Amino acid sequence: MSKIISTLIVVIGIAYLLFRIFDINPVALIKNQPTATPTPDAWLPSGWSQLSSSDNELKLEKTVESGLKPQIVFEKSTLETGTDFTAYTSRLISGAKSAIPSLKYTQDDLSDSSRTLSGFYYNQKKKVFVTQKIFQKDNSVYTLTASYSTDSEKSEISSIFDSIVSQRLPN
Amino acid sequence: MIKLTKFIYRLSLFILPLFLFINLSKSIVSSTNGGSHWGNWSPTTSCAPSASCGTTAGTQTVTRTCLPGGFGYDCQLSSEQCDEACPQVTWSTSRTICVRQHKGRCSEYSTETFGPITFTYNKSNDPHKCHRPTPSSLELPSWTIDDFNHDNSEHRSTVKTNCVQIPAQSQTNVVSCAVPFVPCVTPSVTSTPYPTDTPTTTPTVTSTPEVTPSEQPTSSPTSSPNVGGDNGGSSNPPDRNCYDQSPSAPTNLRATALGGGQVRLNWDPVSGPVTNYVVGYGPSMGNYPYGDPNVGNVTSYIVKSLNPGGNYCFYVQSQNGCAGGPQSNVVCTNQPQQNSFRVLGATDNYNPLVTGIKNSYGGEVLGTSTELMATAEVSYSNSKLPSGNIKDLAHSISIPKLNISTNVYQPQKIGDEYTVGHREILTDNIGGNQVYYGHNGTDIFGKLYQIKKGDSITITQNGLSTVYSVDELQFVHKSQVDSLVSGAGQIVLTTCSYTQPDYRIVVKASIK
Repeated sequence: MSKIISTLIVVIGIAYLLFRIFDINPVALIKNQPTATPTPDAWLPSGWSQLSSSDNELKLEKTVESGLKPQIVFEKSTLETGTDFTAYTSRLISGAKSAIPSLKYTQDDLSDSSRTLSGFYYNQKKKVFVTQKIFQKDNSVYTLTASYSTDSEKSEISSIFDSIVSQRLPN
Repeated sequence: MIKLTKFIYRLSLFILPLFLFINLSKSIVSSTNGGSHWGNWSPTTSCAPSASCGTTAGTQTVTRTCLPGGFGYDCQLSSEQCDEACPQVTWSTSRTICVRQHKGRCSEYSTETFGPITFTYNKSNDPHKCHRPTPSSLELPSWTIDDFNHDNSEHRSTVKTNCVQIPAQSQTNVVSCAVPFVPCVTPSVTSTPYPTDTPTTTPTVTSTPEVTPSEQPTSSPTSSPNVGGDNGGSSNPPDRNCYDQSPSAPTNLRATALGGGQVRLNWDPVSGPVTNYVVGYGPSMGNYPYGDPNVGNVTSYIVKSLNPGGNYCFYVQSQNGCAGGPQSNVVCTNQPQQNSFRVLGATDNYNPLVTGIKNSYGGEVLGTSTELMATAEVSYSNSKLPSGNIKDLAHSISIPKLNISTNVYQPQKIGDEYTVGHREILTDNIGGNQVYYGHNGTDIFGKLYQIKKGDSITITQNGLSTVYSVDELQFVHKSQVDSLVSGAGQIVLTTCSYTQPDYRIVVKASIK
């Protein structure tokens, strides 16, 4: 009996040491087990995950091997009653340029209730591409912002934008 | 005998730790006392005779305290250091990132190191404090901690090394003076002791009498603020024998929240002789337990180590030798109902485009502004985006020709940099004259070019309205910084040219 207990203690000890040496997180092993329940990230393209989510906010991130992780932020805010959408978004653009002087918008597509902006800014001397979409529904404003380091991400981000709009914006 | 032995044994169990504790405490006190963070005492704490107040004699007890700073980029290195020579600090940081993945897990890591960077603290207006360079003047790494900390499998660690965290320290100096005591007239500066709960190390008392007293004073003289006292208010000596001219009160005190527990104060200089200013502050109007008795002969001062988001009221007071002047207007943060200004929050300045960018990339945006002349690279942080300017409810501008009637904003200025909201008119004092700046285009000064000679501009400050008449409209290159300097009694309005960004529209107006 004592031999069994001793062996058990030794095995547990070795397992503990191995976990420490290789920095294995047992919780992560458990989490990696396949589950039947779909995750909140199921609708996202490969590599993307959901960092946070609430009624008025959503934050997504793409895992990359190195460099800046592309991120998408969705926010819902309130538009002042009686405010013209074009004038309002123009003020936002002006304010953004003044707050972030390196921000340059290279594309500005305006419709009655949406505005799409693309451009770039410099974050600590590193060029960051940005795509932003603003939608107005009644007195709510929905803003999507994507920051990414390579222009090739743009099409994938556009499709994610569309998914978010279909999920989050009222018809 | 056995009982005695047991008693001695038990006694030793109690005494030995006590002995060790006392020795340890002594060593801490000793190291604090002799620490390299402290320089010599300033001449104001000695018994040197005042030029016109006779002699400050007797015994003075003065405590000075280095307060820990807020949180900065560089390993929270924004602490202050009281030292005659400002130190050099070396900072480096490294991160470990995943460079190869295998079966969804990182199989190979690489460590990148940024730095080391060595920078020297510089002396600002206060000769006893060293200030680190502004973050924008440091070479910052091209990545931030927050960039990679969402996924532990990729971001194993962020290590900061070689950082120097300067602790808060306190030191007391007792000076005894032998020369006959002749108190000064009207040294009405009240005491503004430092927060007593800030120092983290045991205050060290260093008794260094310069001269053996031969005649004890009959009262406690304090020709300068009795910093470190319980309240100091009762330490005013009799109103006699100070022949320094009492200065007037500083005016137009403004406070700007800088974030990180810091508030910048600006005020207009007093006319007449002044040797230094006193800054006092506290949690409410009339309650000013904290302060700095001598911030130098300056018109701007940054109060640090405040509780972020806390309410504070500030005043400044001018001092001319031994004569103190009256207090300035009092400004408070976050208390619009009691005071003449308020700190704008996210509601008034909310810009989803900016917060979207901020929230999607770590909250730190660095760029180069061309909004004003003489601009430099500047960093923005969470607390500064999109605008932290203070709306001054006691200061407004009205330009009927342009249908403008609005309060102005006291700017948040970092170095030479302004951050301007699209609906904000900032004001600043340049060369003794008030300059008002607003954005062009569709923003508030977008029609400034329409103004003509003779048009009226009304400035209202503290209930007093002054009507100005436009003298001239200039169109100058942004490099012509001197174009903002105006004549006596003039005000200047300026904005960027909408069509030619390198040019400025400058309007000068005189009192009607």
